[in-house]
Amino acid sequence: MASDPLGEEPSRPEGEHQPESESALETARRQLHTAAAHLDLDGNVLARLDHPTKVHEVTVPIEREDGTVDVFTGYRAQHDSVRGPYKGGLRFHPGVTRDECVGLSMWMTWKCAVMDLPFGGAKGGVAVDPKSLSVGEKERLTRRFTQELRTVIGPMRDIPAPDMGTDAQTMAWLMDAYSMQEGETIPGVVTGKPPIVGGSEGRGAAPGRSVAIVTRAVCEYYDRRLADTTVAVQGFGSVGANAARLLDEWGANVVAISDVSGAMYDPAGIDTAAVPSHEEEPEAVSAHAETTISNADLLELDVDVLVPAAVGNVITEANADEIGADVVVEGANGPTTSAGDAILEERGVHVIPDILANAGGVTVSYFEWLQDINRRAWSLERVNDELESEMFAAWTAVTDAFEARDVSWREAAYIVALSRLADAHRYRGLWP
Amino acid sequence: MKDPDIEDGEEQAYECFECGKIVTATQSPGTCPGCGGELRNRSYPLE
Repeated sequence: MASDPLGEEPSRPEGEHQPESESALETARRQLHTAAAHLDLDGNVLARLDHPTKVHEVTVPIEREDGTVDVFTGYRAQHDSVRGPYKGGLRFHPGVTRDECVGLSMWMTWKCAVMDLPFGGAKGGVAVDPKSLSVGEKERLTRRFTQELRTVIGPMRDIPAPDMGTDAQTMAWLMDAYSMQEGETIPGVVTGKPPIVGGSEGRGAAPGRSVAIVTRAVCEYYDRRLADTTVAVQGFGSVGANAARLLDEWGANVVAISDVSGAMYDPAGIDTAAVPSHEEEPEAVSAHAETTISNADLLELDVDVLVPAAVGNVITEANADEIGADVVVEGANGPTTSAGDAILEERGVHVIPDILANAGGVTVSYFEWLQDINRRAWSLERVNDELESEMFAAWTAVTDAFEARDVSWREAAYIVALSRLADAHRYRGLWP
Repeated sequence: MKDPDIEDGEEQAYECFECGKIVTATQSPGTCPGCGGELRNRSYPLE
């Protein structure tokens, strides 16, 4: 999700001095206050959104393969549920902390709200190195963690999903543990499951597909024909490869793609379908290239659209002045630092934020939840059609805010999210 | 959200979107060795 907003009041008093690395919680709170300033938000609502509703901290003991018992700490931060059940990933990672979960749960609140999904935000995890666990230990950890959280999750309360270090199997164990204790099969308690137990088609490609849909929309907005648009995509993993191939299929001229080993550059255009993604064939991008450039050089190419879809913090104070694109569509989470973002804005580069561009993942999670509670699976075609509709609706709402308030695209996205949350809080009120 | 920096050559876990099989390898096996399905690098968030 966004590493930073344009933390800006008109003169951006803070923006010039934002540290390049602030905590997830600091960033989430700064984003909240930035958007709130544009909305003349009720201070009482702002005060509520500034804090998570609940943070659960649990102890998760598991028996190791040698018979000893190790004890881990798990968290589930539930930020806001005014628009629906909490939603967000569960990660198994040594760096999981309470504050990180709170910050990430706030980001999920904004992301679900900008997409108008009937969910609030949550995030959780266990502070553990998943590589240190055997399969059996991981299953025991997941089931015990589920048991500790059982009373606070559920299809109408809080719906976890895969995140760093967790996967479809983890979600299947979670669903099974929850269902066995509840006495009935409840697939809607979690998303990102294997399709055979209620998972959805299309989830793997969804974030990349949403990036492509938003890129096409922003080109249309600026009266730029896709056929006349040059695109550079950093990262040829799941997000970057799917986005590049769709844009190529729709007629855009994808001139550069990259993986960790380097970038392929061809001003005449790349046949993206002919290049295996990094997960299909590692380092295929550079192996198939006639002309290679560095990942850093890719970011500075003179193209119309740049899609950073690899890792976070790649556009910084150090290189933002050199970005050659007119439009940046954030495919990765937080590819632009706060200082980098400020420079891009001053230069008039349009940055479409990650909470909108890569929201296809959580949107298809919503579709999975709908399929689970209705006990009816959708075809891949329907998933893709519905995703396009949801992305178009969100894009339209953000465009309206962008035009009405003379703000950046990032600010517009946060304004849309926050205004929906504020309206919901106003109608529901505070009780008891 | 924070995505990790992936070091080339570092051992990663990949999950199959079709059958759920987990493959741990320093290089992606490309497609699932069990069913041929699409793989996801488990180090990345989905939502």
